[in-house]
Amino acid sequence: MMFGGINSTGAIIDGIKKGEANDILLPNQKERVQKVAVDIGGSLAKVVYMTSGPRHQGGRLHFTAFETDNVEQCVKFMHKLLDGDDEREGTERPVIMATGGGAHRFRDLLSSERRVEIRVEDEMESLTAGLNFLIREVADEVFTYAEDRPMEFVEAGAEDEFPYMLVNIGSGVSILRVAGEGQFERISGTSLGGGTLWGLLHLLTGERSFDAMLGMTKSGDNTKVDMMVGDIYGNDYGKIGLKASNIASSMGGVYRKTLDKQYDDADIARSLLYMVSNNIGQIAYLNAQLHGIRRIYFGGYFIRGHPLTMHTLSYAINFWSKGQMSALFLRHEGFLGATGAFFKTEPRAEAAEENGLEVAADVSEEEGAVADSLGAAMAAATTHRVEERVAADAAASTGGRRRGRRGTAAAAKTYSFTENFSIAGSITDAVGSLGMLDRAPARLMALPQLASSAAQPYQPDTVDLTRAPQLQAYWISAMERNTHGLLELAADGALELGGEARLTQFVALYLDHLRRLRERPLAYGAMSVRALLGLREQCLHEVGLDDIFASIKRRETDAALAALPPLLAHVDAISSPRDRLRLLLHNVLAGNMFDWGSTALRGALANGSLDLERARDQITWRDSFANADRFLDRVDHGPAYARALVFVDNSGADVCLGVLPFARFLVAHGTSVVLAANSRPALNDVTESELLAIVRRAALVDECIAQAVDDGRLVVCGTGSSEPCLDLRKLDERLVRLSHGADLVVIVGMGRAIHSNYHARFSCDSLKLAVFKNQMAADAAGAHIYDALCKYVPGSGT
Amino acid sequence: MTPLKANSLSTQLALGIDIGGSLVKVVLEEGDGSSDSAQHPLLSFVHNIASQNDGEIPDGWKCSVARIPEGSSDANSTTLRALVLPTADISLLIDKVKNNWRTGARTIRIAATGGGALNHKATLERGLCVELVVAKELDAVAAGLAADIGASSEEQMLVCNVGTGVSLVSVDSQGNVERVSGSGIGGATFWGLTKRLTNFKSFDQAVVAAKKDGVLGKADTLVEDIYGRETSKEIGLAPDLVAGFLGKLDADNLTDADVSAALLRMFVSNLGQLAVFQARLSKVDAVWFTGGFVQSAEDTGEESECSAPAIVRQAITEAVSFWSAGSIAAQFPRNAALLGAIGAIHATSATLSE
Repeated sequence: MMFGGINSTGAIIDGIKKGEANDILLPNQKERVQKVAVDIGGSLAKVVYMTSGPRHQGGRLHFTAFETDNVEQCVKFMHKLLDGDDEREGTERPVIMATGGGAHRFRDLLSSERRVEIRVEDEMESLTAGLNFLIREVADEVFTYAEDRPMEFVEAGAEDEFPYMLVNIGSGVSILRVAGEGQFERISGTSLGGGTLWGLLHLLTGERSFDAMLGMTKSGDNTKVDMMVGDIYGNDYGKIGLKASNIASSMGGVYRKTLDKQYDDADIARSLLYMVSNNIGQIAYLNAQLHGIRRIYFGGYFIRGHPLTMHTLSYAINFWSKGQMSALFLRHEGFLGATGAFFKTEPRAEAAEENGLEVAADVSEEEGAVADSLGAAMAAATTHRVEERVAADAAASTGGRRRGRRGTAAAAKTYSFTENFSIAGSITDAVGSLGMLDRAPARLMALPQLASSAAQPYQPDTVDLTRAPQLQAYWISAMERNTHGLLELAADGALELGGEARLTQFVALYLDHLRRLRERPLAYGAMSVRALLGLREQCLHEVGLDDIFASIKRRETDAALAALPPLLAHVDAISSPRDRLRLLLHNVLAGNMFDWGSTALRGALANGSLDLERARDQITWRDSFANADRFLDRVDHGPAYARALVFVDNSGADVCLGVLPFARFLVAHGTSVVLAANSRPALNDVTESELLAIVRRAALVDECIAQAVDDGRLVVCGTGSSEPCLDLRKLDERLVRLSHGADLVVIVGMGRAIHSNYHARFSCDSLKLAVFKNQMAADAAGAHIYDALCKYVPGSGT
Repeated sequence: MTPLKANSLSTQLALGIDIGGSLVKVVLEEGDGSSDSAQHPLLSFVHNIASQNDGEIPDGWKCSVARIPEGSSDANSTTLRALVLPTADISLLIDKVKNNWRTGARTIRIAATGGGALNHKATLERGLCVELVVAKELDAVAAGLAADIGASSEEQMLVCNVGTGVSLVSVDSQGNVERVSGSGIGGATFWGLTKRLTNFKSFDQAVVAAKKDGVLGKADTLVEDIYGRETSKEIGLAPDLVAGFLGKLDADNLTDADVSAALLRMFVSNLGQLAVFQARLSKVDAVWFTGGFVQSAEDTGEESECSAPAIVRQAITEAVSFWSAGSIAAQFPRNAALLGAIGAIHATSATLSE
């Protein structure tokens, strides 16, 4: 049962299993619903709720909607969600945060379940809080729209964000000026809004459903009922900037008997949609002028991703501002109020939340320990020491571990979320889908050394596939091939699957997403290689395949560590430091060839025919992509780097024989090194806990490494990510703390240094080390396959 | 931008014609004592029919006589004879003038404006033995307003011309005319919707019935419909405040008058809001409303408080007061509907005399 395009049967089920309206299943019955928020408007009731459970420690935010006419169904849904909460200890009643007009009107219905507590939240406060949250936390949330340029995503959260204006279009229109978090005022509005359009269209066309009315507008021709400038003037009225095709009077053609045009309901529908949208756009613009505001967001369920509505609002803002301003739209437009209400917390609830976080942090540390008993002791020790050091560096008072943790809990009040599209509720053709928002275990922050300005904003993706249909098709096909490749690996027994069913489920789910993306490239925001790879990991994790490469990684790491001592001996035998470092750089790239994500190399890896020596020979060094000598010069002649931040890539030979010896060199030359690895598994990338174990085992066979670990000069930290690519705006805050004082950033691997961050600039020195292992990526950069990328760039300063 | 000269009585032209989408407005300006209107059959026709000397006025045609500027003494004023007819009757006008044709009539120049001025130029010039000097519509309205109210050219004015559509025109202290804003939600929108949704036969009938019999709020979504009556009061919102115009157009018990009343309030409220915002941006404290919507074309003289234009003017006054919290005034010139035709004479005369 779809309406408004939103799957009302509980959006979460779409893609795996569709349930009946009254039979809503949670994806995992063990998941717990903590809290539900609802925004009951004139036509729709929007529900936002968070689940948590063994698989989603941090919590997962879901979005769904019901027609207000079926509000009983909506309330039943919410009460059912909170049913599962019985096991929760303590006596606290489950809470529904309610906002919107219906929160008052249906108060009795909401309260019909006595064990549920209802808290009514102010509508405008909820709207703005929701908007602030969404533009801060959700990637590709904000976009502009025009018929010829649909959905161009806008970088939000820039420094000129406030003040902005929110035009919320429901039955009527409210215009708010938002000056900051929690600071807003209603500056104007109009009652000529969605309700007006609905009422007029209902009476004029007999149609009841708003969506059916909007559907009619697609085929209508408004010039049959409107009086156009050309109808009056015969041509353009150039002097006042009116074109013959501009509307002189909406519905005015009906009045003029001389026009005598044949028209039908669809023509009227389109005319009235234009009329209402144009008028709202104009009033919004006038308000922006009066208040000196440059950013205008349009929200509310009137828009519901309807292309013509967005186009008209955009046109109006563009027309009246003479092209100086654009209308801004939001993917979660209908959910601002419910989202804002959800995050509204009472003081005592906040305290409880903090406790919850503390517990969660403990659990995840425990998990890490269980996952890797070898590295556990060191993990704690390293973490402890480095945090102390950093605290000391930052001239903060030292308090050790406990203090650090407390700080985390406090800072995490503003959580970070990642949108997860693995199970996506669709809304409409134009706007695409809404995913679930997974709360990250830590707060995610931008790398301080990232150079980003208004003129040259940081953009992680090297190629925006959205604007390149051919590349789009190539990468979608590549992902399909790669997925089928996984089936072959599985057939060979190389993968850890815990049963065949999950892999089949994953393949069906991911291929389904790829099909959807082929039809609608913008369905999940801007399309990039990063997004496609990230979506694959999300789908794997969603069906319970947490780490399919675990055994491959273990095997390769064991083999690589066995080869480490002779390699180190060989390196140490080279007398010139410069030659030593040069070899180490070559080894980093050779090691990077051991990549199960590369379809081209998978065959050689599977039959064991690749070794470091052979890999090194395959790589071509060209001056245009490799300036190793400049880096060697810098190390030779400059002062030693104080701290290097190294983003690592694959497990096995890559990290053990490439990165680790390179890090050992830096450490030996007075640099403290932070090795940043994915927090959770992706492909055969090494994870934080695996890397801790590797360093621990390396320390057993190498005195230099052991000493550096002991002194806290070699540290492992999670990035906060579980993707093969890297968004440097979203790093675990612990890593960001550790990165203070870093004067060298090293990024290893194709995913992190070519597909993403290829153009990233830094205030400190940077070194990007990778091999072009994919033909298309090589072509895009003007390189050849297996060319070396060894790009050293001195810092741009701050 | 055409400079305005409000009192340019050194006029060569005596007749102005404003050809709108629906109606044609013709005015004849006669300086005191001068009655040379007999020189051309068009002028004499307008003089006679407007003075109602002719006896026979076709259906749908309206005539009147007035003096401008408003409130000035007879010595300083001009007599205005006006004729208004449906745009569809232009050929009938030509036929009637031709009936009075005398041989040897010279071609004269007349001033024209309005959307249809260029469309009908050839027909009129051939049929009436005239030459049309066309003034831009907004220049004409602005000049007409200045002539009608006798404004000094030093004043900055904001004019909201409400006809088929809406134009907001700023006239600065140098007399420069600029269309600063406008809207496609105009008089014809109101009437087009009203005609579609009710059985009213005329605009006037719809407006008068709206005022007399319409119950406001029956067709609108009110605050109480969203929050409930009691809660509205609790949260400090008036229950009968309109949240969404026309949101209850599906109600069963609506009369035509209720619908008309709701449509009128929607249109006028929107108009008032646009005018107030523009007034604030233009930094003026009054808005002059002109055009066919605020004054019926035929109604240039005294009219009752229950006439459609008076009802509309009252509604606009209230809307402007509401949106500006009383800080901006809505003002109405007496000959609102004729300003285009009057102004055409002044605007073109000013151009010609340069």
